[in-house]
Amino acid sequence: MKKNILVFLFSSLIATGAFAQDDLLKQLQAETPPPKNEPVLATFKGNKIINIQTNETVKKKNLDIRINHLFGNIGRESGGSFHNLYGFDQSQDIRIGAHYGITDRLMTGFSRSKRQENLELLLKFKALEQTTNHKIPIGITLYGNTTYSTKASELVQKDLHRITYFGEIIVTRKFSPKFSMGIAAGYLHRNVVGPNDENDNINLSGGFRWKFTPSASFIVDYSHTLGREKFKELNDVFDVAGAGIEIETGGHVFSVMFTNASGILENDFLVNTDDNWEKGGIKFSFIISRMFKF
Amino acid sequence: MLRQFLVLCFLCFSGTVLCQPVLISKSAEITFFSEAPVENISAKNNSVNSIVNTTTGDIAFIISIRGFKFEKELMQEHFNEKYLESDKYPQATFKGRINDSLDWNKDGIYEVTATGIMSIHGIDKTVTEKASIEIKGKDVHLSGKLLIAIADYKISIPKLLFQNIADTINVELKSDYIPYKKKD
Repeated sequence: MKKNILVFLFSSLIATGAFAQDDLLKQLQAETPPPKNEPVLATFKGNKIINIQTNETVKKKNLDIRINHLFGNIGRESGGSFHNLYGFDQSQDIRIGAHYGITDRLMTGFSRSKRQENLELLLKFKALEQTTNHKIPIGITLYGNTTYSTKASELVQKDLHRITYFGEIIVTRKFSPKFSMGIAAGYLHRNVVGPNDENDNINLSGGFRWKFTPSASFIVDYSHTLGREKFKELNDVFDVAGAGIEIETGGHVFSVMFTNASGILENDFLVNTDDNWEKGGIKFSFIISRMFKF
Repeated sequence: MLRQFLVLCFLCFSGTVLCQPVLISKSAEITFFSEAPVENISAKNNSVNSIVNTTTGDIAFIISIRGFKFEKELMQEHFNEKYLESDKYPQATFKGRINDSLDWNKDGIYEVTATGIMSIHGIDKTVTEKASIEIKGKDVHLSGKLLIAIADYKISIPKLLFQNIADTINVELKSDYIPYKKKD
């Protein structure tokens, strides 16, 4: 019996010695506050997936200069061919924008885009941020812009006619470090439209990002504008789809994409996309973004 | 016999668990610095806790990865998202033992080494690091400088794209200890 006790004591002494460091770490763990309710980082890498808005805004006092170039159609049926290097010679649309973070959750921006000769002023607000401890499982973001077209047009009777507004609510979730998804509902108002068209349009869209290496992601999105079918016989109107690769290098994000969108701004492509994937109405597009900190 | 046995057991456990002269630090600070041709990268972390058992020399650290604050938010995002993957590995830890014996009641500056397991990015590695412990009355201050080779912890940085990060990171540690009182 005495022997047993000695064996037990001896073994328990060894055990406490070996586990002392673990115990100490556990003791410290108990004193360490649980991980804070931090907002989830990098749901997406830019303000847009391809065509549709994400939850992402530029952080406080950061300035993001974004240059987005949309080339011409690739397919022969839609005007692309070897002579124009499958749309490479055309620039369907170019947007140059500056986005600035007023706070970590509120961003403003200004841009110029070529196709509709739009000057754009935008505001984006992260109303709700997804958190790391899953207390808030989704992010809700509000986006709005207004555009002023400097284009000469017969439709324009007065200055007010040059203006359009777009507002959107975006719901996003980062499901895992590799996979994020977003869905959005938007409302577009154009002060003046041509015949066989409507001033107000509601639009639904969705997309995802799948990170297949630490710095490269596959991105896809899709947009549908409600009630456009009724004009289909008079005007070509199509849903907008895009797919691409996003590569991140230090302070830059570089995206190469294919999409049938006819323009870069929502105010344009949601209602004016007359190219479709089936007829080769796909365009190559890229974005270069450079972040500056003040 | 049974009573003696129980008493012995109690003494045995109480000796190691209850009567430890333990010091704790909840305001330790870690900074790191990486010098590189394009831009220097530095970050500071105040979400660091440490504990020392002055009898056994056992020492432990817990570092919250999200606690590292960078000058540029984009760097901070990359650090968390790509390199340290703080979603998966929210903490880095060290548990080990101070190899040198020192008199915790006597003022002085002691140069010591500690050996133990460093766990960063889900990778455990046995390391020995130098530190200096300054004791002045009741104040116990630990400071150390260490080099961390990022490859040791499977932190991969694409060379072509990220020329602005060095292979070895200079880490500095400062920690002030106070006597530990167990919470009730």
